[in-house]
Amino acid sequence: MMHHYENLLYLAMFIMPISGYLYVMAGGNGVHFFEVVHLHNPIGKSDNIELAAKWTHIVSSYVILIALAAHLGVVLRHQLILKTGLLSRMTPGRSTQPGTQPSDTANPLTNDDQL
Amino acid sequence: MALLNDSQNYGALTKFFHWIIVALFALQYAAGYTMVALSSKETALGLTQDNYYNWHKSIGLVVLAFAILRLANRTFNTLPALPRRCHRPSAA
Repeated sequence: MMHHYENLLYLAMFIMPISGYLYVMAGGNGVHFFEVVHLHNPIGKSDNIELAAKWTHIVSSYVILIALAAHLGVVLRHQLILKTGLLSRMTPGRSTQPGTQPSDTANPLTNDDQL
Repeated sequence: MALLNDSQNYGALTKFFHWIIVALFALQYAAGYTMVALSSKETALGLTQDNYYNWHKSIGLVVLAFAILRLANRTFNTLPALPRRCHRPSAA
């Protein structure tokens, strides 16, 4: 379940830059990359692409903001209420997650309940 | 801490990708909000609206590059199992 949910966040990393790129390229504004080089526009101007990409970019930004808030909410709930130490899985250094080691190290390949 | 994931833990590479994207997404929301809030004559923190647009677009392409690397890492690297206690219905 959680790993599938994470896939949505992965999708966000692609949807935002691709829709944004199409938006400014189709709109004719282009990209002045780090204010050093003007990137070539491979698609040319297109009002239809600009409009579709623009709204994809804007609507997605709000949907993703909600998804990120939920992501943060899950971590905070685990950290502060359930006290599973979930956050230590992603912070630098060794995971200090209590309650997972005995059963998991005894049977590390049991992924059958990972829906 | 190992470089790559194992069956239980995320490795350094995955953690690096995660936090660099956190930073870049935070910058993108901040720059995106600022650039549409500013007029073309205003500045914020010494940067013009044009600066914010340029940096927002540039960082977006950097995000896309990281996204490709990250997807490859997730696809070809081991995905650690979720912790036991995350499987309980009450914690789902």
